[in-house]
Amino acid sequence: MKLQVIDELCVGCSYCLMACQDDALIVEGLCEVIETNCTDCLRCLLWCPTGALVYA
Amino acid sequence: MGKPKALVIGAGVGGLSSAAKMAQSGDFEVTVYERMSFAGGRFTQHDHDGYQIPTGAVHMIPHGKKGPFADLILGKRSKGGLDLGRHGVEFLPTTHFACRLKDGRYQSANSVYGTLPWFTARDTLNLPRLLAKGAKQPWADETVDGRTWLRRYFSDEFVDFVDAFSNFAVSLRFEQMPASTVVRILQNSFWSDRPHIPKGGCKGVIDGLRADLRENGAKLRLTHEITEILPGYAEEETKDHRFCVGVRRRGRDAASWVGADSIIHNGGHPNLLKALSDDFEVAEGIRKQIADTQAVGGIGFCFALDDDIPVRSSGVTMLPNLERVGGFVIPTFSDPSLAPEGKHLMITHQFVPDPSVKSEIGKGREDLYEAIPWLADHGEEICVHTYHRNWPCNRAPQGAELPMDIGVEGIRLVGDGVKGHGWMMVEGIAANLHQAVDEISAGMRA
Repeated sequence: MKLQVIDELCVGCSYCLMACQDDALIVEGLCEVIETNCTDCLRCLLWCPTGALVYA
Repeated sequence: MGKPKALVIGAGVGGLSSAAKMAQSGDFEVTVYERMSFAGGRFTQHDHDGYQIPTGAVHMIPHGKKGPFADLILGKRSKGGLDLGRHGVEFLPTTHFACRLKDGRYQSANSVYGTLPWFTARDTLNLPRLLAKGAKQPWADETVDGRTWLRRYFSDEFVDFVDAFSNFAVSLRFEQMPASTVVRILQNSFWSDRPHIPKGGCKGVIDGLRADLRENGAKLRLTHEITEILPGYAEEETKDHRFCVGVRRRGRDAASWVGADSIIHNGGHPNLLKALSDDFEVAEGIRKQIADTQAVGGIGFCFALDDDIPVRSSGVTMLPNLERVGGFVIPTFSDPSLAPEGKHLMITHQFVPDPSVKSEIGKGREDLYEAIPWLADHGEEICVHTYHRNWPCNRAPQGAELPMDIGVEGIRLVGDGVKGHGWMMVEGIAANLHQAVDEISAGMRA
């Protein structure tokens, strides 16, 4: 199980970046997860307006 | 018999205001469902190391204390307002009516008349005609687009200035809008107050709305999403209500059925159609109109600035003649609490003509460093927001006029998909909201 981005749904709004406390996300057009930093807290997932972040 | 149940889908500024209006009447049981973990939608902010990063609305109330939004939020209840001043909601004026940064030179004006020296005598002569309050329509034929029409009467300098404003405020250029819409936007803007900034940012208004909802016993359920909307008779437990709505806590599989006598939908027409079951008839013409309407995208940068910048204004600053970016605001000159002490927050906005967002971001960044000479030395990019597809700037483009009533009794839409003619941003949301709420309330009382 890990945090993943569904590119077709991601709009690059950067809300996830604001939710992330671990510098585990980069957004430049689309969101990317830096797996080594991600602690699976999943706050970003609850902030995502389009359902583009999934934990699977 | 309990009170009629009003269900609001979406806790954006339109949904929360509608809920607050219905809850204030005391006649209904009001519940708001929001799929995200925060309320406010694109009219709130996130704290990022002390910088209050807006989720969309650039901390701006375009028409200040004289617009429909101020009437709704701060207006007395006897006049249809919510009177949220009671909960500490306050609008702070920006330092200027309008500003422009052109060829590296900064100009500011305190009224529409103050901008006149920037343009030609022809513009000065034609402006009163454009702004004549009686002229609700353009005075010539309006089959042409806004830019073609304006250029007949005004200099390029003037057209570029107001076009940059349009780019900043509604994410559309004049050639993308009918002339009548352009005229109405300009009339509404020029006749209004200078833009204001809500105290504490957009979230200041949202917190006021939430306090008001609590006071009046309305419920707000975050991280809950709507799965479908069925007629009330579909399930035993909701058979006494008009609608049966599937509600699910995000991340859980099971949904539960909730009865509702009316629904206010704040999530845009396509999302409403997706949730509505086949039991409801929506005319083919309306379906087609919705399918043909493209949401409008946009891109906004947030910069952290130090206090040594030469510009000392929170006015909306137009950047004419740029390829992408329309303008910027530095709201911290009106409300310093939006950034850490001694720092400033700058928010830019640009339209998105091309779906390849990554290159559009690059073009915007180029524009900004080229047009703002001091940005490289005094600014640091915090983040870039993009808005498109299912999370756009505007769910319907300015002037699109999608109906708030899609023909299903007991359901109305609010929000930026149903903005009033010529009213932009939150002003448009406020302008159309009263009718939706009044119709829904009358239906539930009948």
